[in-house]
Amino acid sequence: MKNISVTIIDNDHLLSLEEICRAIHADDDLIIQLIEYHVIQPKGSSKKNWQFDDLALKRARLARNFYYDLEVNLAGVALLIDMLEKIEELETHISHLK
Amino acid sequence: MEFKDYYQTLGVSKTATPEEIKKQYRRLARKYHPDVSKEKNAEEKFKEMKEAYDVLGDAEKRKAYDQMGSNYQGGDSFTPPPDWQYQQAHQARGQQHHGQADFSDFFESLFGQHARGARHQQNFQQDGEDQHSKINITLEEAFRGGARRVTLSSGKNKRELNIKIPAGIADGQSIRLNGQGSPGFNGGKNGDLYLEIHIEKHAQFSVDKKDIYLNLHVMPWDAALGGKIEVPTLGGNIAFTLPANSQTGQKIRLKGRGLPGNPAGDQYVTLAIYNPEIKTEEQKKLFEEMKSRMSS
Repeated sequence: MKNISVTIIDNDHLLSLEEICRAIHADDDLIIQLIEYHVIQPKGSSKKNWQFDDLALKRARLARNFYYDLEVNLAGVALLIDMLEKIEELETHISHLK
Repeated sequence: MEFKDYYQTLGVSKTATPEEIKKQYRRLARKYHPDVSKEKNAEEKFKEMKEAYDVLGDAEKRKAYDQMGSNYQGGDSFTPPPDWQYQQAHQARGQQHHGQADFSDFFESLFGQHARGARHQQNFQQDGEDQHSKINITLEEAFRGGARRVTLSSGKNKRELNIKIPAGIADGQSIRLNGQGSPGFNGGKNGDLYLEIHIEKHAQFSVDKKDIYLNLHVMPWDAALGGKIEVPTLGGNIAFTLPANSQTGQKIRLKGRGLPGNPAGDQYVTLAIYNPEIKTEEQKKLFEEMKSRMSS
């Protein structure tokens, strides 16, 4: 079996609006709303050259799942993601102390 | 294929009202949602529930399922009737439209594209969808990178891929494998596969983004006198000169010794002075001497 080479999504390899929509199975309306609710932040000045990093990809995927699976509205989604990240931060902090 | 008892999956009776079904789905979805749940097999369970709710939560699908399924029990061998064709009157929910086509063969045979008469539209060119999965790697793999075989199961089928883990990948980051998602139809492009990386807990080190954390035991005399000590890092032990009078809790930064990258992460070492067990009379005397000379 051949080794498949991979691309890390990071600051050197950002995703376009179209790519992030395809990646998380959502339309651009949802992405635009997530930007309005400050869940994700695009780089680039106009919609045409918006680009998204790995954090945006992770948050957008979570947001999409919560939005459709748990019927949470976007304000709730934003709050959920903030709190999940807070928990992650605390868990990391605890693991350093052990 | 096996017949699936969707009522059993959701834990509702066959006579449950739409409201009861919805309520039960919401309750279970909160409990098993793989992005928040700590339950075992949450992902598998959630997928099954979602599939069951997609059918039972939709009046048309539920009716078709009830009519067809009245003679079956969960686990029975099942083949769809030859004249079966499910035509959905309208795209009911957004969910349907955005759903990850990850349901079972049983579902696909009844309500999937094929059953919806997609075979009549075979001239359409269609790109394959992007897929998403998570993989666990060790901290050593994140540090060194390297080839890795991963098994991906997307409901129906399992497949194996040999992938190259890039050195320096951080926890929670995603990698993209071009063209490894769902296949396209009629010359359409294949989708991409996104793999979200999770770094497993390490016995010695902990990690935060690209930085590595280590609690290091030092002997009291090393801490007091200073001098060369060995510090474990992911790249192997390195020698470090400890300043005299070091204390527990003191932090040392080893620049560039974290996960590689541009810039590479650092390693933070927190000192913990380790009190040796007294085993002999002589050792006891040494401590007593320290006590009398140093306690003032």
